[in-house]
Amino acid sequence: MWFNSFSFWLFLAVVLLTYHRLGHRLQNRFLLLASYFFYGCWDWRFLFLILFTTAFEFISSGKIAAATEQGIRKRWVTASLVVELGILGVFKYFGFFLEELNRTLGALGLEHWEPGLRIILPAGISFYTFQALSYTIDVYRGRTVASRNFPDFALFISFFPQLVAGPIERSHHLLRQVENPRPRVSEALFREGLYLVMTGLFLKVVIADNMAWLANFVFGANPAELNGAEVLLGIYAFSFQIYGDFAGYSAIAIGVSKWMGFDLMENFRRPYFAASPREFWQRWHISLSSWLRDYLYIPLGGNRGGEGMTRRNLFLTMVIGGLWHGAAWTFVIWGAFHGAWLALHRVWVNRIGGDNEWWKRARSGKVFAVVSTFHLVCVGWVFFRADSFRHALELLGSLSREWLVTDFLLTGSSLMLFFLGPWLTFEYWMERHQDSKRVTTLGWGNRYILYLYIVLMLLFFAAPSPVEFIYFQF
Amino acid sequence: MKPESKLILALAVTLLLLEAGLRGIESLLSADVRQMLAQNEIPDKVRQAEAEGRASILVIGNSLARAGIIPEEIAGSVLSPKGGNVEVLYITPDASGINEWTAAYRKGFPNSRETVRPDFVIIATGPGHLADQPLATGPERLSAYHVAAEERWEVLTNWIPTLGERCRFVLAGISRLFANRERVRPLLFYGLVPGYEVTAQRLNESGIATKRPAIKIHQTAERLELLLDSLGIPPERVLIAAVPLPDPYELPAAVLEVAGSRKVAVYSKGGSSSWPSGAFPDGYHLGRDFGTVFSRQLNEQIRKQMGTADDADR
Repeated sequence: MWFNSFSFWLFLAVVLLTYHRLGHRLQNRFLLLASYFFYGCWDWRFLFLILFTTAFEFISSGKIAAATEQGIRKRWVTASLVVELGILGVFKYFGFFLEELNRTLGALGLEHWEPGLRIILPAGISFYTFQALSYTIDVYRGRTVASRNFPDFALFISFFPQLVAGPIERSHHLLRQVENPRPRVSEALFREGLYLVMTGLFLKVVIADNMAWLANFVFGANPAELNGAEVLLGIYAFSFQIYGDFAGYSAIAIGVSKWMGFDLMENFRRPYFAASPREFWQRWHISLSSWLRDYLYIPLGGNRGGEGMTRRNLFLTMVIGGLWHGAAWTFVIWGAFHGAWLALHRVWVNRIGGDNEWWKRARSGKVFAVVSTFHLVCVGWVFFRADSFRHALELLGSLSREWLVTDFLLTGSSLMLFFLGPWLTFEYWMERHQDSKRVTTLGWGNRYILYLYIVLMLLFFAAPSPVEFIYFQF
Repeated sequence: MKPESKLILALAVTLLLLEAGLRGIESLLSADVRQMLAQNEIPDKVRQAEAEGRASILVIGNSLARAGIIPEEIAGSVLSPKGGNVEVLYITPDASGINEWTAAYRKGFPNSRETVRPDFVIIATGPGHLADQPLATGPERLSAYHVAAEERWEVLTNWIPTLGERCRFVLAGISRLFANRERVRPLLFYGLVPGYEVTAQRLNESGIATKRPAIKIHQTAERLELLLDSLGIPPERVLIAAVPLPDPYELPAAVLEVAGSRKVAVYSKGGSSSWPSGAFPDGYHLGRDFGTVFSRQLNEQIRKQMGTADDADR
């Protein structure tokens, strides 16, 4: 049940109509059932897995909260980490490790090992596992109170708008909203929700899917048959595909949650206007980058052990962040690339004195910083999207090949201008005002023009073939 | 009224105006739309021919039938009672199959009421068009152009398998804007985006090659049974004709079985014979010359069925 499918919107209509007729307790029970139904639509068998995760974290956090001895608390939090990361490891990384093992066995001239079972990746496992883990760790750290109500806790883990692709919520934010009556949906909340749903659908259906059409061609072709300009176009297309896809999903998730009185955290804030890698990660997949900061970077030592340790911690955090995305070396390399870039950027910032670099204060300096950051992010995306490390290198190597004007280049660049031009202008306007929700403060006439444009684009310019959400596979 | 209500109302009114505007210029959208709209006039043409004492032949199929069956060549196969010109009519929407053909015939010649019928029906098919299969052209065209209002519920519940497709079917029945939404993109981009036609074809082909699963054709022909049962004319006035394609083929056993059970003749030689590659100028459809050859073969077959061979020879 994709967010861009009719089935989802029918499901949501039924949920909303029922939800607003119920009291707080019944709302929670009903949302829990709806969330399990939503998740079961992918594969009902994985409901047992999410139920196990929920029950285990509920019990272990209860034990942590009840324990007076630090040793017991530590044992339970360790058990939680081992069990949750173990499940994630089995379902997400088993195939990867098996492949690597067999490659090594093959190199040594030994027989391949075939365990005789095929493991399917459950939708959204990385998202809800991280959300559940953060809760238990927060209970252990004394930053959140352990939930005593299992259905409420189960809803916190499985709340359907953000269940399969985030934002990865924290207990002090979402669980508190589950436990307490939500505000009635005012006109202002409805307006915000509508804005997020409309722009989210536009990002996914119009931008991401149309860019996928171009990107899939370039990433699916033999790099030797493409010229440099065509490869660059494909890389740009993928950069906007993944942005539209994920930011669109997040916007819809946050928007439909607002229609139920929930407030989910912002997950994207115009990331391609970032002027440094650090700023990029403050704007891209914010719920994951802040999770990695709080539960990995800081426990590793953060910036407390001097410059060298800080750079090491940045690098390690990003490598693990890369691996979180998927079981493939390309994701590890993508993470390592960002880790190395963040570390080098830190060296650069320290050398010229502070993050508010003097050269960025000039308009041209700022433009240069944004453009160069975007292009380095694009280099990272090549590793993220390519089939293998070798494929990524071949594509990057193709950039140095002759640049020719071909039909594909002319069409592709025209389509990018047509689809991205208005959106980037809109984002630039928000960026200038440093306000992601500025549209909602405008009069209804202005919003009518924007929404009419979006409706017509959704109607007439959806991609020739719809594409699945990229992040559902993580 | 609250601002958000005003906004939604204004959007709804704008869409209604656009819907009305599009219905006014619908036939300008494409030749395909013109062809589907023209289907509505076929019963009147049959009625008029009957009133004038002329016979009518209805060809059901898709572009293969349009290219391969030349009206002048088959017109002589049926004799008009009063000797006037035989009316040859076509229900041949692009890229369509048995679902669209059955719905379109039942819309034009409903079983529920006494109505005129063509004197002869040719169902022209390729290898898979008559076996049960998913909708060839999506639920939108079926809903907007082919299905009769009284059959809508039956088609929605029994012909369309998924919830998403059912939603599209319902929306296309209400809105032509929705039904024709995919026509706007090529209309605009073919003219304005340089190289769009070539690139779109290249990109779609590469996507199809890597992603799209092959269409599953079932080993049943229930929809063909429904069409044959809906024709409302004696079986000897119906012919299933396998249209020539570059590679020879046989019709599915299920199709032959259904035709046999309904005592409907099948002319399979067109499909099973080898035709010279020059017969297909675009690599798929018969050219005019070989279309004439094939139509003459059909003419002969129809005359045999109708018992008019001797009359014509005399």
